[in-house]
Amino acid sequence: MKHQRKLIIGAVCALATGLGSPPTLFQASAQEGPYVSKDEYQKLQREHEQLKQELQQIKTMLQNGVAKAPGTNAAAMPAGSGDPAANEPDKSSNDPLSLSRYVFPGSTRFLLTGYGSAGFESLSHSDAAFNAQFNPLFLWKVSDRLLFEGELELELEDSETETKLEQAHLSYLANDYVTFDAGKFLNPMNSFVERYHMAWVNRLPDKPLAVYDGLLPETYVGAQLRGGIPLGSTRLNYAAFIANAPKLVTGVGPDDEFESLGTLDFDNFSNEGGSIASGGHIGFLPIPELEIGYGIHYSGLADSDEDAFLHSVDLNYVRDSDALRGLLRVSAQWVWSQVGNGTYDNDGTPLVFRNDRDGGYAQLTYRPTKVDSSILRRLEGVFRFDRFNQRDTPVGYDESRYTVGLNCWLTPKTVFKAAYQFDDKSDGAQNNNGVLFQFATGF
Amino acid sequence: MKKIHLVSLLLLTLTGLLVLAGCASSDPARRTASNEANGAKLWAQNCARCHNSRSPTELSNAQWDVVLLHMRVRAGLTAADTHAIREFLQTAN
Repeated sequence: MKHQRKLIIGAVCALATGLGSPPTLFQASAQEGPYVSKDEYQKLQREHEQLKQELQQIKTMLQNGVAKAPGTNAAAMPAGSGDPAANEPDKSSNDPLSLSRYVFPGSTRFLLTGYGSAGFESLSHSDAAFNAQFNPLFLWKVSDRLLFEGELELELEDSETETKLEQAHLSYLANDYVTFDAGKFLNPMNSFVERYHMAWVNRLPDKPLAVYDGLLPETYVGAQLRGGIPLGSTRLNYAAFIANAPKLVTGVGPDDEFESLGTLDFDNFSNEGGSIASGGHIGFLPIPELEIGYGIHYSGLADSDEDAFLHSVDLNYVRDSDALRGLLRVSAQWVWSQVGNGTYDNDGTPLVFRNDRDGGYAQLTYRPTKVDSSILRRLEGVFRFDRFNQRDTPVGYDESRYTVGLNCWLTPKTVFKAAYQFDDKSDGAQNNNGVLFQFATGF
Repeated sequence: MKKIHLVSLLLLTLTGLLVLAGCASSDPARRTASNEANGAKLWAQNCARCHNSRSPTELSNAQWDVVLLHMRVRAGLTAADTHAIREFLQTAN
């Protein structure tokens, strides 16, 4: 809109400049007398009409130009019915207005966004350490129906900077209800990863047990169909995918971690073993504030005759309450992982165990957004309970974790988080209690 | 485990049917009629479900277009809701 205004102002200036020339005439005439001749009057009238026509043409060009400019007025085109070709500017045109559209700020369809964080952790039985992470997210709207999303994850790991391709996928909106998506995408059945894993969205400095870096994949390499469907006053969203299958760690050597025996390695990017994973997620919103979801994953496994069946339930409730004078959020997810009974190789010794695990988290946050104090409005309290049951596996213990935190929001996308973690492991395993801090921002 | 195969197959079949059903259903005029009234409300509800809402003036209309397409895919927004939110943002921006 700013550019339209600028162009209109420019046109008005041009008109004013055009009208600015007649004073010379007036001056010339004024030397002869106080009145202009009929010829001079008619000449001025013609010039005035000509300028009016030119102004009208500029206005028409602006209106047509804005309607055709990429991404500047998609509302003029119904969602799901846009003709991508109609959105393309005429590159062969010599019209300055058309060409200048390429350099209008805000008309680009590429967006660089993402998030970054700096943190500090001091937990018992481990060295206190600072950490930093940077996740640039590249969004490219190829057309009204086509979106490419790429995300890198840069983080410090031991003495190196680790670079990971977090996401790289292309989404095509087939119609109002179906989107085809292919590439490396976030796991649709992992609600924490899909919705909350970004540092400025996650309410605590660390991530939940079991659902993150545990029982569920964070990403898949494959293809999925997904979308949202209105059902009267309710809504349903769904995703169904096929992807590379994970690998099962069936044996460990003397230099390997015994605890990893029987776990699933989800980063099987070359799809060793040739199995395919399939599954999906369905989320139902009976009221706008509440979403209840269920997801499944079924696959064969590389290096094993066993199958993996993972399924989970998730819940998300958000309430902006006058009575509570603030915003209340509840989120929870529980995952079951069933890999069956198998014989594993523990450095040459056969080991048989029932490879079933489960775990999840429940989190409650409250931010007093409706109180008078501007300081209190910035604060947010958080409590999270985590549980990971895998005592009958080589890990050998179950774990509960209680984390309390206080956040201070500096902007809607910048937060300073402080938390204390109480860890409770069974069977005499070492607990990792301690403090965690994180300064995170989204951009 | 055969039951699990059937569940996956059923899910994929259901999605296939949705593709076919969706191809024949699109009523932009009806969507637009309800969009203007609901845009602000949908904006508040859908954004706050996961994160704090940002100011509509933080990005240009073109940038919001990219973000909305992204969130339609990520958060499972319906086409009608996405369209209504876009109209609200363009009005508020």
